[in-house]
Amino acid sequence: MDKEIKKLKDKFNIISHDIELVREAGQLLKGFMPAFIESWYEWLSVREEFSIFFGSNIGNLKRVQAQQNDYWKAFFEANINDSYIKERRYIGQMHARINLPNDIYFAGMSVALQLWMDGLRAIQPKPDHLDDMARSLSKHIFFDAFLVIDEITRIHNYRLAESSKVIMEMSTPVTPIWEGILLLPLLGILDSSRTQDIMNKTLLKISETRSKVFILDISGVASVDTAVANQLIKITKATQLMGCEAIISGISPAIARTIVELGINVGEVKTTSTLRDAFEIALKIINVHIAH
Amino acid sequence: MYNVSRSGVSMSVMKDRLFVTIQGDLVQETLSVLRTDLLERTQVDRINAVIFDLSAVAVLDLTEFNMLHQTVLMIKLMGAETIFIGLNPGIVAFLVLAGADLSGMNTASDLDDVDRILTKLKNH
Amino acid sequence: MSKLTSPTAYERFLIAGHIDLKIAIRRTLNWQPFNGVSDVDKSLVSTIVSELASNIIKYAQSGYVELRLYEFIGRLDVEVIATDKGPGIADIEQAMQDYFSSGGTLGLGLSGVKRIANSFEIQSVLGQGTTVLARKRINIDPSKQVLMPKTLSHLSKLEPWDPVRSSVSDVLKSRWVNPFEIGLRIRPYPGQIDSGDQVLALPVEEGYLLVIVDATGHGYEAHKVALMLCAAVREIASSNLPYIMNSLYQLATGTIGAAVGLAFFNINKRTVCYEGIGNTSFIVFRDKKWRAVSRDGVLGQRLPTFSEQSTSFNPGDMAIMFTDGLSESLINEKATLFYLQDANTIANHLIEVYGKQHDDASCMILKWNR
Repeated sequence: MDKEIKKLKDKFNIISHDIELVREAGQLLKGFMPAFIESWYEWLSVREEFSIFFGSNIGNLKRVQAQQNDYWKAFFEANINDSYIKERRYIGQMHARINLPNDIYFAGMSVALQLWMDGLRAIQPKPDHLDDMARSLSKHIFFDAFLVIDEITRIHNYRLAESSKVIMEMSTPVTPIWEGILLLPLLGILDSSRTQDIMNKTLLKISETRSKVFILDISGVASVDTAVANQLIKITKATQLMGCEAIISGISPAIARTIVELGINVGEVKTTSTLRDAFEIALKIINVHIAH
Repeated sequence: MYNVSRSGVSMSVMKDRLFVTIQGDLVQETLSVLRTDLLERTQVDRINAVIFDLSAVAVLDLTEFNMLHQTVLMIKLMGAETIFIGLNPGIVAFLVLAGADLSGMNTASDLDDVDRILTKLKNH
Repeated sequence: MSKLTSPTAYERFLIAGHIDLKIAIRRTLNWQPFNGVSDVDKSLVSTIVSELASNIIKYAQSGYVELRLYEFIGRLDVEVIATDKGPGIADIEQAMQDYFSSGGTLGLGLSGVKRIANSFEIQSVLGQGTTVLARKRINIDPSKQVLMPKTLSHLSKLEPWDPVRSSVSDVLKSRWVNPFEIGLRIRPYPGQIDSGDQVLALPVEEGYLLVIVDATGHGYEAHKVALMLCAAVREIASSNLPYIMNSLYQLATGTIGAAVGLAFFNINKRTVCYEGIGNTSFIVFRDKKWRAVSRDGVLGQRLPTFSEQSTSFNPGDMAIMFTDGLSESLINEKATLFYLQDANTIANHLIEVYGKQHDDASCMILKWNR
């Protein structure tokens, strides 16, 4: 981990001299902290985001201001180690959780930097290496901002991937396996949202291909209980309303037992244990005779 | 054989089959008048099958469907079958998911399919 | 304060007859934001519109159906909101029962909508009207999704949709049933971050207190003064304009000073009154335009005598309060062109188009939609 931190500091050109200067600046600015916090919140209070995130919740505001205090204390102590990095990442997580917009975050950091610089410049007598101090401060601010934004980005990417994953699990390939016969091998779970997705694709395919038979193979379905059975019944009702007969294949001995024991009534829907049986029935329905 | 057209609905009779094409303006009054008309013709013209063509209907809500469905049940009681053609996927999905009463609903995928369905119904 | 994400897309239909119904259904089916959505899902939303709009016609003669769309990656959340000022529903429980069990009287078809929708709420007050809110979540393949520009620019600001928090009462607070709209826009002197202008709208007693402050000059100094005055108003917010003006005057003494406009909109009495000092303007747009007069002077430097001016403010009226960063003659001429937009859009537009380039510019719009 230390190697990683060193690499990061190198990238941002942060050397021990910078750290010394930031610490020195911190000493000089100690008395300025309350004024800083006040001015910074003055800036924030007129942003529209302010009323959204704080509203009239004074307790919340005070708590966040206290956290700010701690944050800047740590900033000026400049012990860039594991826990320093962790804390900044934690801030990123908080921001991602409440979906704080990036512009307000960056603007806030920028304003903070301006205020610190103003604070330094206002000190009498004028401190030595004021310019160098300013330079080091900037480097550290950028470094901190990177850590926070990096975490936010990571979380956003994760959310994106998650939602894509869900969509992929829901992809439903409805395929014509013969003229007038559609097949859907169902995998995974079958809940009401998936059912709608299936209806979307299947009903459209039926009307496009003018299919007369729809085979729904459930051998890949995790488990069949009353809820799943209800979804299956809805799907078959829908295909029937489109003038297409439904066959459910892949009924294993276990599923057969469950359905009867639970007292589920599948109605008039034809069911088979193997896909092949279902296919034969389908061919009969569309009047194709297979010579054995 | 004859044709009749009134607002939003056109009807034609071929032998013992009555074809009803709905244009898409299903106002309550229309449905009500349609019902009266249908039931009368079923008796007078000795109709054995009423085929509803809804291909021109984009959207059918539960209130409208219920009116149609009741008509279907009444026709059935008078000894004729009903078959629907042209229900689009959206309407079908809605009816199933909304829990509509689909008892007595027969559908064919198109006009050619109607014969097949009628034969199937006769053999039950 | 609950955070309402603003819709990515929005549409509203007036429903007063069967033709309106057909139009609403067709426009929903072909709604541009539904690009990429499956036919079945479009149909489901349109059927909800059909059912709710039919009820409006049947029981209330006229009302509105609104569509609100919230776009996320991989899904769209659609809200269908039907509002009317009809007789209201006496027994919602009974109305929700299925068609047959309600004894053959024409059921409201709402039970079907309830099953289709992901969440569903009704609020009805006898003699006043009904609001029905149905939400449908539509899943969409992200790879086929063409995100709308508003979504792209606000991607980091979107919150996961939480149906538990956003409820009918939140909806009722927005446009239709609470028809007052307040839009505002503050734009600093081009190139600067801080604006010497501030605009504020505060709910008080029977209405709203509207405040506009234009601190002398521009930049950080002016900004601080404007903020200070606004913070003070927040503490003493009420409908007592003379008192507020006096207090602000005291505070501004010794500072660079400011121009201030104060207006109080009384919802119950349907009046709006105004007091102003310096270059702030207040105009009410309606059949007969009404322009308030701000006293000459600078807050903190010379206190003129004020007389409160007031006028009526009714549904259909629009009031604009603005600083000299906007050209008054242009506002007078052009503001009504934007009348049909929502208040925030109008505020933004006026600033973009008519804001002066060498000053802070800000304005506030108060609109009462019919």
